[in-house]
Amino acid sequence: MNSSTEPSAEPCEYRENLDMIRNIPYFARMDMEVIKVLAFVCKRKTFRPEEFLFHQGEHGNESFYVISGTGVVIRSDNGSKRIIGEIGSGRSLGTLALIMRSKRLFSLQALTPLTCLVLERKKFQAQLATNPRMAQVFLEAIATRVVEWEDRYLREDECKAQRTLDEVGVSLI
Amino acid sequence: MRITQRPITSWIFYRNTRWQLLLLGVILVTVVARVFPLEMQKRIINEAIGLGLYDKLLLYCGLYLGAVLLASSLKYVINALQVYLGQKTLMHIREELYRHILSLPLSFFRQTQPGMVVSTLVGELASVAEFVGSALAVPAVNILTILAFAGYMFYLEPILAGLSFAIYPFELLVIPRLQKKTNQANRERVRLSRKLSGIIGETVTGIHEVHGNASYHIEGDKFKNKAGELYRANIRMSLYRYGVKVANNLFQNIGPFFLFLVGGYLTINGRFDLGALVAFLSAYEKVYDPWKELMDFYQLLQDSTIRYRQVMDYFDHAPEHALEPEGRSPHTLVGNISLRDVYYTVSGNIRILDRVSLDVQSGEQLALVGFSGSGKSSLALVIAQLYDYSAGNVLIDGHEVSGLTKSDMAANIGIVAQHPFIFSGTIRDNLLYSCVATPGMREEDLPDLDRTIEVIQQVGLFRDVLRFGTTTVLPRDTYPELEKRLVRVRHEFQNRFGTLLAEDVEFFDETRYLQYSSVAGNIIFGDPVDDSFAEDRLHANADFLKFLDREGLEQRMWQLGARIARETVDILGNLPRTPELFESSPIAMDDFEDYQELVRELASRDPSELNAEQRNRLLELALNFTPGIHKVVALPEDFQQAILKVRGRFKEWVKSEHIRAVVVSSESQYIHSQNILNNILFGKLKDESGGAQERVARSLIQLLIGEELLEKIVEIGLTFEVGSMGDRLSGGQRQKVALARAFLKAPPILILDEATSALDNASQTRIQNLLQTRWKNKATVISVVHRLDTLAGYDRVAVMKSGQIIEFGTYQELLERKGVLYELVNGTQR
Repeated sequence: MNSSTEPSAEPCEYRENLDMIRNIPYFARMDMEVIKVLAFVCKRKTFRPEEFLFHQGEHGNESFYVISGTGVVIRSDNGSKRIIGEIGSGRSLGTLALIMRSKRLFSLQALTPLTCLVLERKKFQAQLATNPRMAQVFLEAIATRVVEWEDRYLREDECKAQRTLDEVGVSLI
Repeated sequence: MRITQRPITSWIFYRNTRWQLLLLGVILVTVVARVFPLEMQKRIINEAIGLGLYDKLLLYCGLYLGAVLLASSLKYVINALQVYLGQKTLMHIREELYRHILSLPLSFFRQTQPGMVVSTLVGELASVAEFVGSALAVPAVNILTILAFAGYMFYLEPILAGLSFAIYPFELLVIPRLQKKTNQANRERVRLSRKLSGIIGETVTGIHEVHGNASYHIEGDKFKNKAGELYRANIRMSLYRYGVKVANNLFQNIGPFFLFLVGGYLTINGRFDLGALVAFLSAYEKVYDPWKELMDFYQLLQDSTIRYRQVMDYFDHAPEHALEPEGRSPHTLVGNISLRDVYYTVSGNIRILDRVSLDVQSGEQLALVGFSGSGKSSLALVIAQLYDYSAGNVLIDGHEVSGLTKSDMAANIGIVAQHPFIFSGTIRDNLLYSCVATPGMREEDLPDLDRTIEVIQQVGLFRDVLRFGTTTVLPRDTYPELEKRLVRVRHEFQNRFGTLLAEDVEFFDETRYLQYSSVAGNIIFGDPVDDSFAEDRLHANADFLKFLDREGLEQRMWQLGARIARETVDILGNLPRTPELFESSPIAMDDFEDYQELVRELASRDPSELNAEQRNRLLELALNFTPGIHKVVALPEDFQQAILKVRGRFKEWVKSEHIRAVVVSSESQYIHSQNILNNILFGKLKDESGGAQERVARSLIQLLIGEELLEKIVEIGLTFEVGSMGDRLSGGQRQKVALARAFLKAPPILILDEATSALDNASQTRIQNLLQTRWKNKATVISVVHRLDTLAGYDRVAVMKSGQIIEFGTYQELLERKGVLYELVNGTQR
């Protein structure tokens, strides 16, 4: 294909989404056709401060990628609330919700106005259903992430790893 | 006899006897009308021409013409009757086969693709129809015709007739052999083309490697070799095929040679007259057509019998249960359930249920828990007769479940499946589905609106239906009173929530470009009374096109349309078309191919060089473009400003020329082209504002309660079309609909198979409370439970493992026992 078409496409939301998604590790290795479609079907949402993006215990149907703003991750156990930490731009959350209806393990609340790229499982899966190879690529990206996590977990704190031997092997390796 | 065991021939006279006899009658007349002209030919030559009699010439020619006309019209009648008989029978076969298929056990459908059933019923049986239509007619008409012609020929001259038919045995000897060779050659050709396809497929898939190694010649040679073989096979087959044709032709044309030779000899000798010879020649030539038709019919007989048998054999299973009881009405049960040593074994001799015994009293509520694969779902479905147990007894009120009819079960059991199925139609149709299907249910016994609303409140579907209601576009002039009150709600909304929700709603502000309205909507900014001014029809309105031209906007619209088309086609071009993809697409799914074509044109041409129709398609795209929803291109600021200017001019133009076509939006008037929600908001919800829907819904409910409009809107919401297979509903909504339809039916036995798994926590709790209050002691409930915190509400809990019940008792008892349930609840067992 030669480049007789317009050299610089005008900026628009779709193109911005495209550039962001290309740099999210879970999607980075997918074919460009697929990334284009994901950029096409995802939506941007802005949440007001104090608004919850989702609550712990809810079933998640979409994943989030933070474009701008800050949010706080809150976990409640037996009635007591604990702030796990803050998240900001460039962070992906709830990616597993793209694979299955899973329970949210924490709540996410906006601290400042928080703008996210929201991708619904329904749309994501409709895409993978027509392209099994992409499903494989996506699963590999997820698995890589789990393996990295376990590796770090074991290396960082050997005592902790000893204590919870049950957790060793979550990556199934 | 089961429909699948009926032979194909049984359909010939099935409900058709009278018509087939009529057909036979018509055929007899036709055959006579076909032979008659031959005799006329003979007489025309011998008596009229030979003796030079004009009146006889006219008489015989007239009779000849009459017979020919009669034969042709009757041929048409025969064909019409054939089609009628064939299609009528096809309809009967389809109806009966479909009923049969629906009654087949679930195990059959686990191995059958829906596509198989579709293609069978829609496509495969067509040749059977053709067969049934022609089963009597074709052999009768052709054999009789041949016999009649042959008889006439023997009557004219037996020796000559014998001679001319002597060719046929030769033909029967030669043609089939050639045909066989042709078929063989054809198979070879098909085999080779598959091979060739394989090679092409492999090479194209591995094109990277070909380019990397520059192995063009290797792959090229592979292709060349196979292509050469295919070339030879093609020629071989064609030669045989034309051989058959030529042989056929030869046999057909060699006949007259004998006739002229022998017939001519006889005529010269005076033993045969000239007229008879001409008639004989005609008769001989006319024998060929019926002969050919008989051959074709034989082929059809073969094809359709095989096809028919394949189809019928595929579906040749017995339904496991009778549909209706004989000699009694369906039982009315109270719901005492008792299982004794029940086994359920599936193929491969795998025991899903392994000697299960269980007693549940009428009105008791039993929870089934266990790991996945423990058999808890299967147990519930065995009780519901959806699975058939292999041994033991399942008794409901003392009746063996395997002996009950489907009607007995349907009258007494409500099932909510884990993935309930929703049929196309309205929400209300689906809510009443189980009630309508219940045997003996009369129209007036169906739940009324109040009851329906009560139940959708109970299952937590109320808000969803309310939302469907508010997204309805009210038909013009149907609800004048409601419209007035909605405008009141609009004012109230502005007063109480206007500032609070200003960020969530884009109000219809005449001074601003509306991001959530289409370009057309931005120009019109009002309520098109005249249909040709509707947003989606504007591009076809000739007056409007002139207006656009005057405003100098046409060019810019085409350019915008072209940009949208290019980008969208680039993204969606090669993908399978699914509704999910097209949700945020500016091009509708059905129009996509047209725009693909258009984009190809645009590669080499400017939009202004396209023809008028193509430019109009671009205009349509531009006019429907809505920046708030469609993100593929950005709408430049100066374009928006231009549209705003045009909005004012459009208003003036409409006022001066189309006074009644458009009513400009104003806060005091209901806008008929917008849905209820947009009317109340006097604007549109901003999609990008997180949580907006929730906030607006909350304020809306308050206002609607105040105006006493809540139920009215819900009633309208019940007419929401759920789409094919209910695809416009979410997973949670589908489960709620399924629960509501079971509750509306209010059966004595409720089987819930993880019936709340797709619901959020609050809804699950609501359903649980409902079971423990409203349904306590009213229905026997067997519930497969996936959330252990709901267990306390059940009368009894059965814990299952590997197809057996390993613990059974009240929740408290089992916790105190500190067994498997205790471990499950406390999460110590993985």
